[in-house]
Amino acid sequence: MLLIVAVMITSCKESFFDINTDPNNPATATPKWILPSGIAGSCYVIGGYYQNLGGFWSQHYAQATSASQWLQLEMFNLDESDFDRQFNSLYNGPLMDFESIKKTTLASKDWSYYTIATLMQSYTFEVLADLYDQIPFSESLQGLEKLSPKYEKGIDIYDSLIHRINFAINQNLTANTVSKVGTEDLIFSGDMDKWIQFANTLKLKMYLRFVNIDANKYKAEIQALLTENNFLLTPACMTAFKDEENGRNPFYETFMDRLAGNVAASKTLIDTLINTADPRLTAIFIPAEASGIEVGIGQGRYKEDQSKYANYKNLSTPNVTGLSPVYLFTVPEVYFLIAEAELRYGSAANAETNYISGINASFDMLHVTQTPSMYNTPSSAYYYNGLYSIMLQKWIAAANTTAIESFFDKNRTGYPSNFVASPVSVLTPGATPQRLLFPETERKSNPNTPKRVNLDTKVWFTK
Amino acid sequence: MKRIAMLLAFFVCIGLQMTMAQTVQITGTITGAEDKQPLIGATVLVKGTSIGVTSDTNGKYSINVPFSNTTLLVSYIGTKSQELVIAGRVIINVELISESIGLEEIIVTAMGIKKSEKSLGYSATQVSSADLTATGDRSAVNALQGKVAGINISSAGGAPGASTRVTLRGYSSLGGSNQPLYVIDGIPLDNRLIGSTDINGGLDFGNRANDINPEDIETVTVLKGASGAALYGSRASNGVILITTKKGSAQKSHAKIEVSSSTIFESALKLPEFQNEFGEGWYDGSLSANLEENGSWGAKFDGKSRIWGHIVNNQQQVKPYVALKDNVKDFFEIGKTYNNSVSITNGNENDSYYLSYSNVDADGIMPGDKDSYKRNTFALRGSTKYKEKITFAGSFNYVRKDTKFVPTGQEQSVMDAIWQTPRDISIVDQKNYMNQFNNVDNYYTVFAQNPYYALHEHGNKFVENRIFGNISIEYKIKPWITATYRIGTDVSNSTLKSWRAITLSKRANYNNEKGRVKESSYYNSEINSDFLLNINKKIAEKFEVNVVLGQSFNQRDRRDQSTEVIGLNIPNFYNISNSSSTPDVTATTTQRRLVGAFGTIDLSWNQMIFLNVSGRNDWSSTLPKSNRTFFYPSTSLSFIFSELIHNKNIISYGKIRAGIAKTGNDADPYVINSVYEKPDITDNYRNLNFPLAGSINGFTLGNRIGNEKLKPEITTENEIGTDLRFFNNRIGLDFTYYNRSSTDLIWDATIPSSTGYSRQTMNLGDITNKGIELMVTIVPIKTEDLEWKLSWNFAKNRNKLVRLTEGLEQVSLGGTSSLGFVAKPGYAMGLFEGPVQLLTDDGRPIVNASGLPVQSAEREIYGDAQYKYTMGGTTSITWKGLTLNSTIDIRQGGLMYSRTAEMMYFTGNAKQTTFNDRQPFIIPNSVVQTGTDASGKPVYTDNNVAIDGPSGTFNQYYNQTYSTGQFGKLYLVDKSFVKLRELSISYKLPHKLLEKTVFSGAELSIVGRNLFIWTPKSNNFVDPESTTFGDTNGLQADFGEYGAAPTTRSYGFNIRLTF
Repeated sequence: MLLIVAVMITSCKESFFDINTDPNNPATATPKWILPSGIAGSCYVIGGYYQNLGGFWSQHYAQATSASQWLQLEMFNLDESDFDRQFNSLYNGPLMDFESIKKTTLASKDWSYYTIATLMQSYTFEVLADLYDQIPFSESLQGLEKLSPKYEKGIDIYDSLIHRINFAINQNLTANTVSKVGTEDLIFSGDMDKWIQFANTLKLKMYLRFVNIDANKYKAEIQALLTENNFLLTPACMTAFKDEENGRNPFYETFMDRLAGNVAASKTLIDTLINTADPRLTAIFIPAEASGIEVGIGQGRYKEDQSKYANYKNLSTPNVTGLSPVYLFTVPEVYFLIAEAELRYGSAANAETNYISGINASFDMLHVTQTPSMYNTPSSAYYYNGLYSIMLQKWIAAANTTAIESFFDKNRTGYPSNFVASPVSVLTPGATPQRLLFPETERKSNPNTPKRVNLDTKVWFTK
Repeated sequence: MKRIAMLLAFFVCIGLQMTMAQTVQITGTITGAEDKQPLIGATVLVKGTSIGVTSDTNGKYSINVPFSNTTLLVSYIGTKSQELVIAGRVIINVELISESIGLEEIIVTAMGIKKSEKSLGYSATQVSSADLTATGDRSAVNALQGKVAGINISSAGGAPGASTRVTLRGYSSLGGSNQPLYVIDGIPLDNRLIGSTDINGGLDFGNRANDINPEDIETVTVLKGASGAALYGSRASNGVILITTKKGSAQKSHAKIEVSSSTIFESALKLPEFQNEFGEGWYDGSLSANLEENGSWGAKFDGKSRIWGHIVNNQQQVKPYVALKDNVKDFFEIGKTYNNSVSITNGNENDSYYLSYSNVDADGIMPGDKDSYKRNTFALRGSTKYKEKITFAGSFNYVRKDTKFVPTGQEQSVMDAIWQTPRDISIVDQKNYMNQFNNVDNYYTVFAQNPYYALHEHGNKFVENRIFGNISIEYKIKPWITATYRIGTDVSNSTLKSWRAITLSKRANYNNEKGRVKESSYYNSEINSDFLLNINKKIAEKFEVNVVLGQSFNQRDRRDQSTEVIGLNIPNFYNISNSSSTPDVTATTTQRRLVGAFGTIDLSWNQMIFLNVSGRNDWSSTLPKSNRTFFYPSTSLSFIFSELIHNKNIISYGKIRAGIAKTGNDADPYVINSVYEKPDITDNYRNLNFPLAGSINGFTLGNRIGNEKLKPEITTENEIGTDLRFFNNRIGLDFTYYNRSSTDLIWDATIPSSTGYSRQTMNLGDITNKGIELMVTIVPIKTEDLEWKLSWNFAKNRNKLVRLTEGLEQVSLGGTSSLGFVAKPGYAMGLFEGPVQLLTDDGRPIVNASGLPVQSAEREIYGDAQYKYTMGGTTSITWKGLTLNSTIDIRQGGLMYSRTAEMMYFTGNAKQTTFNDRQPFIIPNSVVQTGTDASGKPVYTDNNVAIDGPSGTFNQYYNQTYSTGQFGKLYLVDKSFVKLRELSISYKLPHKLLEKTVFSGAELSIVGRNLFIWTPKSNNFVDPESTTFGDTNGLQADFGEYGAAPTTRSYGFNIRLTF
């Protein structure tokens, strides 16, 4: 009896039961430790699944014979479960990590972390908004406060993002509340000048999305940016990969290694390069293992061409390694963005100059030593012919790096114009994919998810 | 708190009065009526009092009877009790007649308290040692299959040492554990399953309840409902399986030694039914392309000689193009299990001991010893009495397990390679995987690995050391009041090493593997302490009261650590040092505490009406402070109405019982608060692990948002039933109806990721389980030499998720990307859902331009995983020393996913893929969309495009990865089955024959388990008991199998000798 009473007294002591604090995971973490998780999380999806999606839908890549992993991308036969994981892991991973950094650093006026988190979050939101046209935005990332975040239109999100970016970069980065950021910044190792250039470049890219819907909306801002001319001159990329399984470039890791034998070079891009004798060919694609020559397969022809090419060994494959960086911006991309902006809002001469710089930068990036020349000879492959040429070269330069951008560009500008129709497309003839379907998990858990919109329905910036 | 204090006061105040009276001593001998042998441990009670003794080793007893009492009650397990009027006698000898159907059975109930069966107001089924060891199975849990109504027991697979899942009266929880609580001699047992449900390499090293040596078990009591389980508190909400071990018992002359030895052989029980008409090939590729295919979509067999495989060193193999009907069957070997045990026991009035050792050595049906299970158990139990008042007892058990398991799933998988083998290719001929045609570079298909290579070059090794036991002190303070303190522990230390060889093919890199080693260790400890005060008192004539007050404390600790390196340096050397890559390291510890205080009071009147009232309060460390303590009461009533019937010729016994009980269930540890975690960046194929290059580490805000409002899950169960015996106990009928409802279910609800989190552990809904259980026992023949016993049990459970918290449409329980496994309000739990064939408004199937079905955008429900009903039958015929036993297990209804079926369709090996002789066919009545009308509505016309044979879209029709075939539904199979669970013939040598030998008993048996299975026609793929999603949560395991090895039939012989 005494024992019962004794134990019951013990049992009423609070500390006896206060053992429910997780010893395996920290309750708090500072921005220094959250930032790498956020940046790596964004780069993982953008440089992995989205890179592959962009590769297929902008005809850099095609499905190899004797395998069928990416058939759905060739058939445009997606359902709501496709890319569901990527959508979810961006929101509950990097976007939320950036949000939590923004929250604490706004309060502590630690503007370096705040700016980086804002820019990375904006870049990621922008990609999602482009892919889905409508996404949860201002009500998102609020935890239990907003259990069913509303979906907002891409165009409105753009306006908000530009506002957020401007707010961030206008803070005083030399204030004494500001921390010095180190290698936890996986993109620029804490070089805040480069983040300002990143902001300008991102804004320029975003302004150019308006060309079909409201071309003059940001005209003044674009012209101001061009005048200031403080864009990225170095790539914005994540390089913190190591050559071991589960430590490598995400496209290489999953698409080239784990699911080897599926992604092959597209005939569209390879033929473009072969026909113009472009020396970048062998830098972009590894020649077919079986023959040693560069061979691409047509979009959606993995079955018809089975007898021509037994399997991936008879086809060229992307020249991506486990240590290839994941790019948010490449240098050629920046030049082509400026070229397009100059063409539309500035001087034609500057457009051409930047176009040439873009091609040269692409050669440099691929370590191709030959110098492209004869930009003003109409017979040259690099002959400058306005927007057509800028977008064609931008598309070539985006291979293996920022392919998803090529997909958006194609829908926005209609260039390049050499795309072929996939014979296995399930869309109505002539239709091409414009977006992804709203993700299944959202559909099931968020009643504010919009009704299904078909894959070939144009998004706000489409021409 | 206040509530408990009052409860205690109430119990303590009852019946402290005690009368002393003059007594007379009565002595005698108790023997069996049939064999005239003394009965040891028979109970002699003074009727209407709590005074009682038990007979000694010679069957002798001596009891002091108060003058005022006139009747003795003599009982013994398995015999018919007798009431004896003393009538002035001082020596009373008794012969007890054995009972056809156990009635006066003493049942071990919660906290090890023994109660007479008739006093129970709820259903409890006790299974005896003989039934558990009849077929020599290594698992006592498996041996319960088919014998108890309302219990579903499934062995996860055919591998030796595979886990066993048990569900009592359906699922009443979404998360946590749906498994019952196992209690051994009053101490809860750790039932952890160490394994993995990874589809890229599933492992199952067995659940720990399976590691009890069946020979050590005296009885197993199944407490199905909440009533019986209430005293165990929150861990018992899914029922309790009480294991009572053999204690030392007094022997006549010398210690009793028992030796038991079984030799069991195993073979695959059910393999898929293969088509034998078409051979190797895919699409209409050229012959050379077809030669490296992993399926049978090729041409029809023609018997002609045909080259196959790759050209190696300018050589190529030739073989006749014919089906090899048994190519898969021939791969498997005969499995062997040797199960030996020895025990020794002795004792006297005061002291006793029991000592046993057992050894199981099993090697399964895979070639070689890569599927093996070795178990050594050692048990020591003893008790000693001090001055008639204090009893010390203790039990010590040691288990060592060495297991190897062939991984299930899809990567580097043996079974996957086997299922993919074309119908014309011999598997056994690939045995020499070093041969130039069979090696990694030149294996005939580039899409799979040589199964012998995967089997022998990859591997794992699991070792577990475990100690469990308890010490108890029982103090008889007064003849009517006993205090017991018991402390027990169950500690396991396990290590698992698994590896894959460096496997790089020069031919193609689809199956490349850089080599990997993983070392894991698992520590579990469980401490349980109970204090019990047992008060047994006669209050008035015919009126008895029994009060138990108790307190219990439980602490569970777990520590898991693992280190993995991928990419090995030196081939065939498996140590985590052998890699240049960053090891992936994890370490997790958890601790939880649970304290309970409980009381129970039993009132009985005239051995006819029994009333029980119990209550328990729990304090759990895993719940938020404000909801940490919860109380739950229960009550039950038993009425033996047959006591009122004078003439017992027709109804010899009749009981009506009713009970209502509540139990609570706490949460997993650490779900209350949000935390930061190591980033888990993955696309489900590969990951990006931290730290990144440059030693950059990071943390991410965890995806589970904390819940400080979490409440315990409460289960309330109402149960009524009756137990009837007719015609002198020759026919027995037990019936129970129950209605169990669980509220505030604790489970991880999916919240939209756009909130920044993906889930929260919350109280999200209510479940009900309603059902009936029926057990009929008949003894058609009973003579001195011949007895025939039949028993049949039936159970039907209706499970329903009644409600989900607002805003939740459904919750996900797992599944694959193409086949959802969910719970939805209004339906049974474990719903399969997926896309269906799209139909026009008037119901015509819509096809695409290739003539293939178009799938619906929305997923629809295919069905659920719940059995409609289950039945079991046992029969036993004994003629002199010869006994024939058999058990049949029947389960009807429910669906399961089968990866095996999926592989069979994918590869064209399934019989079903020969539909229409693989000639082109048009989906009947189908239409194709040709455009849209002015209002935007689709316009359809009759489809005239055929699904054009194996050379065209035919395999897409059978392969869901194309989203245009028959979708995930195709791989769901009906999991109904009938199994001949047990069949044994045993012969007990007559005593006369043994008189001059050293043996006091000898028994020989021929035994078989799972000898035959019958499944519905649609399931010509797998034994539906197979699971690979078998975590200890039964519900998720119900999804099905992902490349499980075939289950087995076993047969062999058994010898049991007693000295």
